[in-house]
Amino acid sequence: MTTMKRFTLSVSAAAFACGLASAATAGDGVPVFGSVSAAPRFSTGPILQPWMSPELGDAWKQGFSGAGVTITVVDDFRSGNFYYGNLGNGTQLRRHGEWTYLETNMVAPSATMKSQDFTSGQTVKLNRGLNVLNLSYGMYAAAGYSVGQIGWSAQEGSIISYAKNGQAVIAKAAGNDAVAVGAANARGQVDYLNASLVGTPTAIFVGALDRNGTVDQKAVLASYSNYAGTNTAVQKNFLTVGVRGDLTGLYGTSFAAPVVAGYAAVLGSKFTSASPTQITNQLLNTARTDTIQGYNAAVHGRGEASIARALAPRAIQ
Amino acid sequence: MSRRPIGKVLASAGSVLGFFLMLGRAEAGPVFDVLEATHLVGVKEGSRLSDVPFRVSTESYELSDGTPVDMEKWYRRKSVDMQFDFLTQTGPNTGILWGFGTGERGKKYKIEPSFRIGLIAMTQPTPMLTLSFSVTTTLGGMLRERTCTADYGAIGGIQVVNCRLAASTLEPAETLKYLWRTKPTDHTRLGLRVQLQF
Repeated sequence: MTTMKRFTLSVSAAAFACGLASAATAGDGVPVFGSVSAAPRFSTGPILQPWMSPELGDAWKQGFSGAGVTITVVDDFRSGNFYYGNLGNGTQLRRHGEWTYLETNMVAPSATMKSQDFTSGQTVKLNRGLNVLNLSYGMYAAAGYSVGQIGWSAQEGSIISYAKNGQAVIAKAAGNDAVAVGAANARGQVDYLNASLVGTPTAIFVGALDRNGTVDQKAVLASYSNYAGTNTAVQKNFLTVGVRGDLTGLYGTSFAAPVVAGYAAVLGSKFTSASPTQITNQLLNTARTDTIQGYNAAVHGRGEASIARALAPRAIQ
Repeated sequence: MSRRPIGKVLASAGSVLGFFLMLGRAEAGPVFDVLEATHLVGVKEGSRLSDVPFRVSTESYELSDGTPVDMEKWYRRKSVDMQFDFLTQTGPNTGILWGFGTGERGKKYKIEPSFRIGLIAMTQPTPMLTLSFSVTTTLGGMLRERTCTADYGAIGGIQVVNCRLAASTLEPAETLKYLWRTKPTDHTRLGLRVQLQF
């Protein structure tokens, strides 16, 4: 068994400005056991923010949703690491998890939100109805281990189990090392949480685009974002979304995963009897490739997530 | 029995009820003649309700594979709701307002034929002042919308839905609550007009 370190998957504005596509900048806390934290309360309404896809605004016209779905954000809710950002409510200073929680909640305002500090080590509990987990962190150790050699805590063990058994939709930030998912970064470290989720039916790796793409203004993969790589099992479950760090001050695939987690909740509130696997597949199968510059499955996986297309029927008469 | 022309009454009706045309004029006669006392006072193409599907016909959304769904094919009117309004004079200062609409239909909606009936009365307290009062009610003319059948594939199967909201966040069955079942907006109308000449 190896020693694992947790890293949140944000890129600091300073690092980004310097062109550094380094992985983690905070949250490398020593794992400690603790209780599940109470969910922070944020007063947010369904207001379309400039960093969001315009498709969300269209979705909200019909009295939106996310209702009946539980999103659990597993992240840093305890450390002393704070970040400045602005998701539309003015510049604020929050912990990494508080940002991803807020972002997810803004995409799916009616979802039931829960949080769990990523150092708790405790099993992530599922609730009735559809469950979506947002994981904007990685578990890093030196390259060279097989997935089977990793001794997971109850927390990651439960997450991986849910992904394998199709019990929850898992939105996993792809990482900020500009390498393929599952590959070693420049420091010789591998995100073994990523590696353990490869090939599971309900894990979605989420990379970051530089914008919300359109046919006329196509997006490109953010310079820091991990990409799908040549492993078809990763490509099959890899999505991208726009991360407008230029507007929010929040860069990194940490802020890509919450968008997909929110989309999964929106979808789950429409198709109330759909399984996590069906929700996952719908998001993957309806991704757009025509909004990405030089789309390549080895880079962009299935393409850019589209909530509008995911909600739409495949035929109507 | 003498009967005065009620040109002013007609003018009032035309203003209050939105009549476009005023044809004919009642003439006095010893025997009440319904046909003679009836005048076509308004012809109009379309109604407020027929504007509703017309607006929708310009909208569109995409299927899950990106194929555009143009709602024009569903909400384009195949026939226009023609409105005809008449006035039958019943006394020197009174009349019956009545009329009908032919109805309208498109592939996914229809406006039922309608019938309007009402009264109009006029009084002239002074030579310079004319007051007219009218009330009409409309029977029928409901806007009704038909459903679509949507195929959501593995995630939702085949479901009957509201064509307009099939791609919304609403549950497919929930969309049926928003099908049009709308009475004419001017179902009952009261009109009062004060005309001062100087």
